[in-house]
Amino acid sequence: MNDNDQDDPLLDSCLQEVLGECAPPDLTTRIMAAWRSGKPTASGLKDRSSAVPRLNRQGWTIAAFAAIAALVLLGLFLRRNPRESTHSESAPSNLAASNSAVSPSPAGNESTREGSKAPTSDSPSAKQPARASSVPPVESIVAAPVAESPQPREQVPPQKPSGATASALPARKSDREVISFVNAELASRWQEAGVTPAPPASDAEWCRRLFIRVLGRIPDANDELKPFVASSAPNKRQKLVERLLSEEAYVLEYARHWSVIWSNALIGRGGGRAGSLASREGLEQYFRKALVYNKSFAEIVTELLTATGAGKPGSDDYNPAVNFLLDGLDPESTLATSRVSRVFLGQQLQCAQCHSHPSQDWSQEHYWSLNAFLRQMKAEQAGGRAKLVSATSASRTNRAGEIFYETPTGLLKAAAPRFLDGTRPDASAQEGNLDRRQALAEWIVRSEYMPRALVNRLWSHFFGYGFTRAVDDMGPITSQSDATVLNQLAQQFAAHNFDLRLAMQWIALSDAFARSSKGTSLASRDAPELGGGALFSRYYSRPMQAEEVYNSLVQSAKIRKQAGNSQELEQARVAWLAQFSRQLGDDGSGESRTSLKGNPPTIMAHGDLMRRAVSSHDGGLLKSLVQSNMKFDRKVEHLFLAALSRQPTRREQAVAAKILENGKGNEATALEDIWWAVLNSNEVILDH
Amino acid sequence: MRETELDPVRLIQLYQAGVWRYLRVLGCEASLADDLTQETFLAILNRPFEDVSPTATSAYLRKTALHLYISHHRRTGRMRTEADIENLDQGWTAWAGSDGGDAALDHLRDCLNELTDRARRALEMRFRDERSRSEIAAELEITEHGAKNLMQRAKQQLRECVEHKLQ
Repeated sequence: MNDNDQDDPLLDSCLQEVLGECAPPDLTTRIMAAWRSGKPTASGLKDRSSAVPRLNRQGWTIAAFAAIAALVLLGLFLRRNPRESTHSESAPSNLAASNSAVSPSPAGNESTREGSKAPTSDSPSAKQPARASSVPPVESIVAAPVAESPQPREQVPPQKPSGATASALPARKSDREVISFVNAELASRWQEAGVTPAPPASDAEWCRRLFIRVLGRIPDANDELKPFVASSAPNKRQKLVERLLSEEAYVLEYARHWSVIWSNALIGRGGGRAGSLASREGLEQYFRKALVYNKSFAEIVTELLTATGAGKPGSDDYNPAVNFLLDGLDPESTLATSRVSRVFLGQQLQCAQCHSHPSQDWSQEHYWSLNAFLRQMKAEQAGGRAKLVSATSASRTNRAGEIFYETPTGLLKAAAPRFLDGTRPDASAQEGNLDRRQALAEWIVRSEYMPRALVNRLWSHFFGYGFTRAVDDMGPITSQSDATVLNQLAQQFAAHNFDLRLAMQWIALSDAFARSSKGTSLASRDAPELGGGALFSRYYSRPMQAEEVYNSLVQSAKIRKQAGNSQELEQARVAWLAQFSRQLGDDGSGESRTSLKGNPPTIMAHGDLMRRAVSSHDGGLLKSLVQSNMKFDRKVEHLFLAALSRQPTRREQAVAAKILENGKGNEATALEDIWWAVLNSNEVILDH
Repeated sequence: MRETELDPVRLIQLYQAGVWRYLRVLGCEASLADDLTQETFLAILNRPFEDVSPTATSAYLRKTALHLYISHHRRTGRMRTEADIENLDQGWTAWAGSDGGDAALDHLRDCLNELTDRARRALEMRFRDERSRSEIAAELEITEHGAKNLMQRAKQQLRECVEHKLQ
């Protein structure tokens, strides 16, 4: 036959059966005979029904190595103290889990996990021999057997992490009440830990860190820092927070900065770039608009999860919200599952994609049950532009919304859409009518996972550390006070309609945020950088993110005013940031922090940005200072205020004077040198 | 979970057609499809198995058959691209349902009757009589290019028709 007409194998094979009368034969007798006799097929295919599989040369080689390894291990074991334990307290469950992973029965896996259904004596698993040895037996070394007993629906009881039971919205508290509660809880924590909190930060220090956290840049020395420091208004800090979050002069800047933060969190720094179906510009544009109008984060989550349309600006049916799901969209939506669970639920479920989570109670069933909600979408391409569409027509094999996955033992299982708390979507909805993404969004917004995950993330942004070690893998919280603060903030966040600005306001006006970064000797117990839990008794100094450094540099050197148009500025910003970003590949946790910690100063010291910043000829701060009539030491003050938000010390002024003297009184040169030194100091990139 | 007592004969009778058709979609000749279908059931029957639902069992059998198909082609040194296999697997999964494709084929018969006589005749000559394109063109008094277009359009119509009926 002419192959050009056989271009649709599926339809062609059906036509051959219908028209060509090439129908499936009845092989029952043949199969039964072969099963009983154990003979190979006529084609020479080996009959794998033999109880003792024959090994090929490769198999024998592997078996020999395994036997040698077993002997070596046995020898090592016999030489060691038999009482010595190398396992941590958590090892027994992990060891049991790993043993059960080689058990042929999936029910055997569940019997090792707390709260899971134990296999009954009637179930197949109970009849399987246990495999407890650390060296797999010879039979398991042969080519992987085909999928074993299918158990498509595993009765996994709902796994609820602590404090995650759904409840009605709590009563709203006033801002003052929320902040007071947080302050009181943290204070009691410090007392419990025997920690003396750091002294209060100065106005200048507090103002600087607030600008960095909210706007992503340091304050302008003349227009913002000095007036704030000079003000004697009793509630000036509250007023400043409100201004930065809501005032027209700042709201665009706030939205621009946080659109980058949220885009980084959702699709990673490399997401939406060249080669991606998504548009990073589109996603940031979505967030800018949402943040300007202070859209409820519940609404944002819903829009991101249910969006359809084209992702690139200028496309027909353009919907910038689709860029979240469109980025990295794969046929099984595994990346989307990972991102949704990390960012919106604070759970790193991707570990459970291939096996049970190593440290939390998430199983593959949980992962794939959540994944099932995200399988009703696909990307379509037209004219070089990608579009996210809903695959609303359920396939005939998925009337119940089931999807299939493979366990580590090769077993094929099915998972139906089910939320992490074990509940299912509305049972009354027919599968063909159920919009799974909408159902997922509604559940996420109602759940207690989301507000806790978001508050934890915001807290981590402001303090450098959240209430849990990883903001996207929350797990149990060891400190009761921390759990109380997080739960209270989360509840109030939900009660106040997931108002992001309000949550930031509570955090920024907390007592903890107002502490100095200079610790006392007793506060040294509060050292999360050394691995302990964070007590928030002092402000944790840390390097700024690359975006924050860039914005601060441009701000302090006043480069923006004499630079090109906004597009050129944006291109320059992206190019500069690209020097620091490393795309490590996205396994679903592509939220790489691009800080300057540990980076060589070369980029800062010799880049084009720095050259423009320290030039006294190209315009900007330095040029205006050189041309001004101020005394030299006042000019030096201006430089320090502009870059470091503080006055120079006497010693620093003395050094500056020495520089001027060595330069034979050439102020322009001296100021360039001083400015270069200040901008390349560690302090300038530090948020303290 | 309720254990279903396994009847091998019943298992084979219920699912063999679906497995066989699946292997044919993947590209097996009829004789190879026979062999691999047998291998599939032998693999199943020699391990603990629970026929929980037609959907799950069908999927499990297809997965097993796919593994055997891939293994066979590796041994013979012939392999298709992963994308091809994946697309075919997904396509058949959508068509076959849990009845092995019986309903899809019934729909196909109905859809054939909705074609024009010329289009149906062309496909019959192709798939039943195994005539070449030039012979079909001569029979229908059209060019070869015209015969090709006629059959392609007809197949497209059939596909849309079947998929519409399957929804």
